Amino acid sequence: MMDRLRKLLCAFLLLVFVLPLAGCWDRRELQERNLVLAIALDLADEGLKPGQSQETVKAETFVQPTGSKRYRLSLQILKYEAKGAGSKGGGGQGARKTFVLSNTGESLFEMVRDMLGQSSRALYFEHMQVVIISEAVLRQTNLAPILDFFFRDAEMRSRIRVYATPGQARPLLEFKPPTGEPGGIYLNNIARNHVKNAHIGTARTDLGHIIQALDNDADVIMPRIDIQDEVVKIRGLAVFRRDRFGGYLDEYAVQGIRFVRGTERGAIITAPCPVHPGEILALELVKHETKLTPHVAGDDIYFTLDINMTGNLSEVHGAQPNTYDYKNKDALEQAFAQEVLANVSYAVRQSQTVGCDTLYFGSKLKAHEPETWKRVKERWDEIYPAISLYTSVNVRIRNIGVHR
Amino acid sequence: MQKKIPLENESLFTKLQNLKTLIAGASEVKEDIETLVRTLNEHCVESEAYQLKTALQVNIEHLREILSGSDDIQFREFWIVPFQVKAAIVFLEGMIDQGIINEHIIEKLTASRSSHKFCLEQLALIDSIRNIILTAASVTKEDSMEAIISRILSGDAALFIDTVNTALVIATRKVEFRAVAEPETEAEVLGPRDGFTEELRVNITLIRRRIINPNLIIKKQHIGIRSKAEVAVVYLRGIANFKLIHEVEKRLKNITLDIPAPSGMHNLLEDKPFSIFPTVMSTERPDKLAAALAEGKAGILVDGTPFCYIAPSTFPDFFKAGDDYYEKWLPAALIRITRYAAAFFALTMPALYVAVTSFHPGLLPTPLVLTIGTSREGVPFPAFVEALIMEALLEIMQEAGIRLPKIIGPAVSIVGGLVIGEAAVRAGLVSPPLIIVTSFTAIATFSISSYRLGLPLRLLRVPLMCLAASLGMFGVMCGLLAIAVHLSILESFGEPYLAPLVPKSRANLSDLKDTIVILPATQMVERPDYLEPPDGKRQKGE
Repeated sequence: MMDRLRKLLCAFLLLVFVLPLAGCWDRRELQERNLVLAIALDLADEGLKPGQSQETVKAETFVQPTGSKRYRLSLQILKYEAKGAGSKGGGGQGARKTFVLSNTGESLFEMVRDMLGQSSRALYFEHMQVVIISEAVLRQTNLAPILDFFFRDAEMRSRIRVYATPGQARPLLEFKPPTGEPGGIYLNNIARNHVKNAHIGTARTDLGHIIQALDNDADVIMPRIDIQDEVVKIRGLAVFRRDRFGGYLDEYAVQGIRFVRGTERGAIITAPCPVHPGEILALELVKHETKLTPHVAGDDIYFTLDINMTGNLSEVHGAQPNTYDYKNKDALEQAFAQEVLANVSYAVRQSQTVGCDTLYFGSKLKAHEPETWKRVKERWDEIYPAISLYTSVNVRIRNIGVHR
Repeated sequence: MQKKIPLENESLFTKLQNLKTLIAGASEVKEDIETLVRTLNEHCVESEAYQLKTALQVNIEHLREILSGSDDIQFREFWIVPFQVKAAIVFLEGMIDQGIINEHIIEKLTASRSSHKFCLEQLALIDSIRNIILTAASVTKEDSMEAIISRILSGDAALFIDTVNTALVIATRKVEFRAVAEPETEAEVLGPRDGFTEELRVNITLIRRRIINPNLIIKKQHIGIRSKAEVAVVYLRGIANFKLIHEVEKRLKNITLDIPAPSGMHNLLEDKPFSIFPTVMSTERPDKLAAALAEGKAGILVDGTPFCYIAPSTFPDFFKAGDDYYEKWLPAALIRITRYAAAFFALTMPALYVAVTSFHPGLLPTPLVLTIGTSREGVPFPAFVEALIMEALLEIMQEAGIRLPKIIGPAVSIVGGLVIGEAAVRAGLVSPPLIIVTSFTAIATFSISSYRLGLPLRLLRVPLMCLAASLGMFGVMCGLLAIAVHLSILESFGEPYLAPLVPKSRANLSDLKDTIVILPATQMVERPDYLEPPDGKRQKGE
């Protein structure tokens, strides 16, 4: 009994001593971690801080022995304010919740690690919100090599937003949101509003979806974000042929694309009023059924699109008082259907001009006509711009919004 | 002379030497005798060694010897006038009802009546006194000194009569005890307001009053080699499994402690005394015991404690409260689930906090990281040390709250809760989220219906925290796994500790009706199967 007890005690003590020796290796208090919220990628000599001298650029620069393409990587890091400072009125709305570090080099990972030379605390990417890539970088390199670091690193999450910006990317990191949120969180949250607005093309464009598209050899799309003075807005899409930057599509085209793909969850459709010429009407989309079907007739491939929409009449200009007569309902529905049809054909034209399969024709064909897909896969880039889409739209107004 | 002097000196020297050793020896002997006398004086008197004699004086001498140390023993000698015999009545002064001794014993025996002669003709002396003269309710004949002594010590009076080697023991016990009051450790909303007291006989009546059935068996025995405390095993014949009753009685008999504490009896009955989890439940509520008896369990009532022990008690039993059965079933089930959740949080909350903040901030939503990070900025300690400090503070405050006189209680809560908590945060020693975690933990501990299950949870919090601080979430999971393994090894009176939760067979699945959830009483047709009751049906009909 005693012997057994002694043995047990020895084993227990051994365990207790081993724990602090083997454990604790990655223990680091939350407030001692520098959490990176956003990453901006510019060309090496762009994305400077306003008024930044060449001397400071030199100080930041990391000299990498290999590679010729040079980027500037900027990190937006979450800053905690001590409690006392906040309560004295300095914090709250006015204070900036983040700060930016930047570096130049070619390997993103190496630049990140080199950044530790500028940071008192280790960098962690578990709360990354957005990656912003400037157009200049996209025009210089394909997307896959740039994003490769984000695909491989274990700390990156699939729900990171990826944006393209026509100007420089770094100013977006320095943007101070009016809500007082940390900048990265603000930039991520803008993208969530696509539910209520079909113009915002952020549905299924986060890092995980981009990985998926690249893995499936499909065309990548990502939202475009602009900053002008104090205005930040998501405007349209940046489209790619595979991972090669192809250009931008505007908001109107985005709405049309989302009609084709059936990813709109809410939309406002405006149409000219058939009863009062020169005035406009607005319809709030409530429900929709979209069916995109590929057809193959010999060598000819074409698609049909059936859209059934139900909505509420939500804004009427030109009718006094602000109610509308039921007898005009059919004419109104016609007008809206015309508008949707125009929107869709605009989107298809734009997409085919750029040459990016934003409409997912390729994957539809692969799913429905695998044999045909095998045949045309190699020539898809040539075939795609010439594919015709036959659209039929049926709009039903459920509620004309009568009020007395 | 010159020559003789050394010689004489020598003999004188040896004589002195001898005297010295003699004195030393004598003092040794004296010491020995003194210790012997002391031990003889303190030697425990064994009452079995004495036998009842016919001579009254001898018996009294014997009694004086056995009980000589105590001053509260009373000898009252008198003459039984009608029979002209000497007699003595012996009792403990604080434990008897003087009225009975005065009116029903001494008065009756000293008065002379004509009928007495007739008595002697018909019956022996002792029987005529017992059957005709004494008017007390319970009078028994005893002829073993040991039994008489133990009756006297428990408050009865013994009547010794000259010329007879049998004594009469009259039930005169009148012990002061606390009135039946509301149970203090198990408050309930809808439950009955009576609770057990320290007096065994009162406790038995509380049970008898609830289950009026001849099959309610109460088996008394004495435990403790010196204290001879009275213990009653209570069960329902035909419902409780006889193997269980046998086991309970065996364990009680096997208690070898000389003076066991009545309130700590569960420690002597447990299957694995080294485990920190309680495997014998104690309750102050007679309704809880009655319900347990109806399920086929056994109750152990001990004189001197208001706590009754229920055997067997499994893990889910500690989460049950009487209110669960008095309330509607759905809210009751939700409340019970809440208790399980509370137990989980009470056990793991600080550990999870430590693990998440120092190892895996990636698990938190980003806004929460911002909040915690902001409040922890400037706190000098790692989360683990911080949590340890708060944990120590909490334990000290809990202990102070229990031990302090009730009047000072509010002062403790003000100083502890407001001053220390608020000041620690203000001073930046502790972060506010941790205060929330600690207070949540404390409240979660209180909300488990059993105080005794709360103790191991409180105890296990700290090792879990250590694991969290060294291995992160992995350590917490290892710790929880170890606890789960331990729980599944434990047994209570031979029943697995997780008994109805982990059914032995498909037949036992119906036991789950009253574990984490609770079904309406009408749906619980069967008694818990794991107890193997001889009569498993709870509801008759169909």
